[in-house]
Amino acid sequence: MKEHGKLTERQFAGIIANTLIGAGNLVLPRTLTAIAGTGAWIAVLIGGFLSLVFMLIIIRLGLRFPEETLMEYGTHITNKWIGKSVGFLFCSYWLVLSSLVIRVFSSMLVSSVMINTPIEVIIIAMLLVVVYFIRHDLQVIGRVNELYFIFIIIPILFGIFLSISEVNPIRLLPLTGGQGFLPLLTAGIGSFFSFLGFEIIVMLIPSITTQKLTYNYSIKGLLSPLVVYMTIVLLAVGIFGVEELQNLTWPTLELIKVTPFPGLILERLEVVFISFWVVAIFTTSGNLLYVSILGFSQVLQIEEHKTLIFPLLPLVFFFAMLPGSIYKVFDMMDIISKVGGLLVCSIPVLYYLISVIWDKKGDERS
Amino acid sequence: MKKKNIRNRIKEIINSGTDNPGEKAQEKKLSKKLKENLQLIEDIIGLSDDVVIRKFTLGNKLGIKAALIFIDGLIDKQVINESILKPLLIEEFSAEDTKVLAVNDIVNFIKENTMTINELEVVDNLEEAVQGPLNGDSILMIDGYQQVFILNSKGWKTREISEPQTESIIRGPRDGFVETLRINTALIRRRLKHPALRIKSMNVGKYSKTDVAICYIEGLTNKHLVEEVKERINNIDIDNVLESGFIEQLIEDNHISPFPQILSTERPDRVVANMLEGRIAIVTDGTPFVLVAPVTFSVFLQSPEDYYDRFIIGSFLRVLRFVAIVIALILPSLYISVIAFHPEMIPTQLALAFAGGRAAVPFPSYMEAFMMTGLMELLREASIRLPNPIGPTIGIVGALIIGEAAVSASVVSPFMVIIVATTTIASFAIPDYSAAIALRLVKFPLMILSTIFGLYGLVLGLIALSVHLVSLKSFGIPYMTPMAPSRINDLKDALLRAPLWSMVTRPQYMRTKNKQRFSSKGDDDGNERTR
Repeated sequence: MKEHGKLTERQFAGIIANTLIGAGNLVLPRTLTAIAGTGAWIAVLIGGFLSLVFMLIIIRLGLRFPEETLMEYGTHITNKWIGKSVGFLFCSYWLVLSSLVIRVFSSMLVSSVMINTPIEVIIIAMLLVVVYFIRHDLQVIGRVNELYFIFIIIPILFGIFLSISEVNPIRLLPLTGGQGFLPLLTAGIGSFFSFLGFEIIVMLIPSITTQKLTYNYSIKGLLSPLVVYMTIVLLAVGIFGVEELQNLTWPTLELIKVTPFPGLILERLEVVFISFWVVAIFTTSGNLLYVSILGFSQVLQIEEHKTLIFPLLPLVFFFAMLPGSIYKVFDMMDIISKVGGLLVCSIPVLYYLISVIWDKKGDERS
Repeated sequence: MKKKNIRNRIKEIINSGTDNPGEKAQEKKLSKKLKENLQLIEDIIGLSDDVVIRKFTLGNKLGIKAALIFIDGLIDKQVINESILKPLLIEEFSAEDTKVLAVNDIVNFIKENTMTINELEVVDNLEEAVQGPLNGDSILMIDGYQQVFILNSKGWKTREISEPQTESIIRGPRDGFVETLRINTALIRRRLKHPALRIKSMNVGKYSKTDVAICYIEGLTNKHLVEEVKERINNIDIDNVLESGFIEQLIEDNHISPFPQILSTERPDRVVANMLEGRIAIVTDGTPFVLVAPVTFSVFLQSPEDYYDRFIIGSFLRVLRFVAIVIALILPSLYISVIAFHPEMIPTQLALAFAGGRAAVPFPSYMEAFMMTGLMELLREASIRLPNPIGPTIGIVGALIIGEAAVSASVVSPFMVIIVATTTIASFAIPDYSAAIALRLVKFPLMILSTIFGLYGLVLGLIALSVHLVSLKSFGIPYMTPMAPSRINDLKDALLRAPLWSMVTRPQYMRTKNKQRFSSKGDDDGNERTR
């Protein structure tokens, strides 16, 4: 097998965190409160817990085959064709998700800051940088994620810290949503979809330097997006209230707009916030596209993943431009995350069961 | 038949055209006869005017012919006169009672008893014999004897050791490297009086035959690194090495990046400090700039002075330099994007002031920015090239007259002048010249991106820049260590400068063999540490 460079555990955690913090939380407060009301934060917890469970299953499966990715052990667990088609499905899903992430963000950019710029130009500019990024090998991907984690998390913490003063605690009550358990669970499953992206670890586990620490650091990697999601939902509810949130297309952006930034030279810092969000979007779609192309190259047995970038690039652009309006984007996002959710919930569990029952194991690491 | 002859003839002519005197030396051999040897040397070196061939006879009775060959200007005349010619001509051989000796005995006698010279070598290889005078040595040939003496008589004018011009500091040693290899290695050795210091010489350049010395500390520096550096320098195939920059460009990892991946410095203290962190110094003859490899980006933000001042001050300066980098890199782009794309971000009072300043300016803000930053680069370049006495004039002309006049003529707004001035000052605060010039250069693509996309473009540009920096390597060590890959233990000497007593270990990413700088209990050999 080709050596793709090694990831340190910290880089692994950074990749998980950066992939999760992205387009999802731009709309999360609205979609969750629509179902669960003020109990939305519990829904985030449920979603986080669900994704934790599936992530641990994936890692358990992955560690049975310490030298192989999903594309490779899939063919060993089932047969060549089933394994390859499943791998192909995963890769296509990542590719579409990656292009939609770029599209969602570009839509927000066009509607809020760069009103006169054609959306195609914004998407292409972002894609070019992403292509430059994913041309490198996994070592560089890991290092970049490690570096950007700080650039993503610090502005978020800073924003959260400043906006706390605007929260009206009464709007947060009742804390459980007051509609019983069922809406919480529905919303929880809904928020699980915004945690999607953690499944890219199926491609990363064989490259981790110390595989013993995989569980440990994957939980750490999942925890920071969970906290960020929950705080953003709590803040959005506390500042706007459930009813008003339903009328906001980009609730997280509005959150920044109402946040006062005292004592700075510049005003209206949502532009600065968006600029930092570019980094979050870049890592999300970059990581997704990287694993997608890496996966495709393994399915098609191509030595260098670079060779596939340019043939697949028009496809990414096509999927990003496919939905006509922003509502179509959200619809398509819904469908694709359901497909992804289905894949993530079924395939690793099935694979794991098969590999345990038929006692299939990969080679130990030398 | 005839055709073939003509072809051969043409071949001969072509070959004779490319005849290389250096190659001749490999073919021919030294003979026993002095006349033939002299003829050989003359053929190879040619009768240049600075080549001195001093013929003389050894002893009145013996009457053995001999010749001393050296190049005027590369030798110390006193050494030639007092230590070579004097004993040969007067003291040993003119005495009437000198025994009649066989030639071989004379040679031994000269070697063992005659020469008052510190370095002497006997060779029978013509190539080495020819190289001798070219290196500044003198060669002695004796009739009837096939071998040649190479006598160290080097001595040419060198620059005095003086304060480095490019890296000035307030506190710290004032001596800098000079153009002579030996003096430079001596400057290093004077600071590292440890037997483990190794200085290995190599020869690079087909024509220039430049001496290059690799300095490292045995038992501390990573062995693979030393091998890698040696191999890369050995692989250099070039005719001419005039400056260490040639070597730098030929052994670095990424040839198309604007960022320096090898440190070049004029300060011996900096070189020694880096060698003690496990890096390798490459001293090149003919230039005061010594290369240090491998380096990370944070090394370019360090000044030796950080370590000489108290750590709080050192840390403050480090932070200041990070701020300077950010300003030098993005301030003009930020100005363009805020003015042209996001004017709503400017507070009302400031916006009014901006508008007032820009009211009479006919150009868009990006034109203004490009004009002024371009002019600033011109000024900087011009002031470097100008002779010293009139150098400051350009500052006055440029900064005062053009700046003032441009504003009053409404070509640029006063704010633009402030922005450009701040950017320039910030870029001067970056301690390493080659890093500063790379950042200055990268500023322009960022300005273009913000002209097209505003802040979005600026951020995309910065992302691409950081991906590039993260992907760079210097001799296998990631360029952005210890930030990415993160090594928390090494951050203490990157973002800040931790107190000396807390920096117990050498940088981990250098993978040195000997990891502790010192320990509170004792050194590596278990000896008690004395205070």
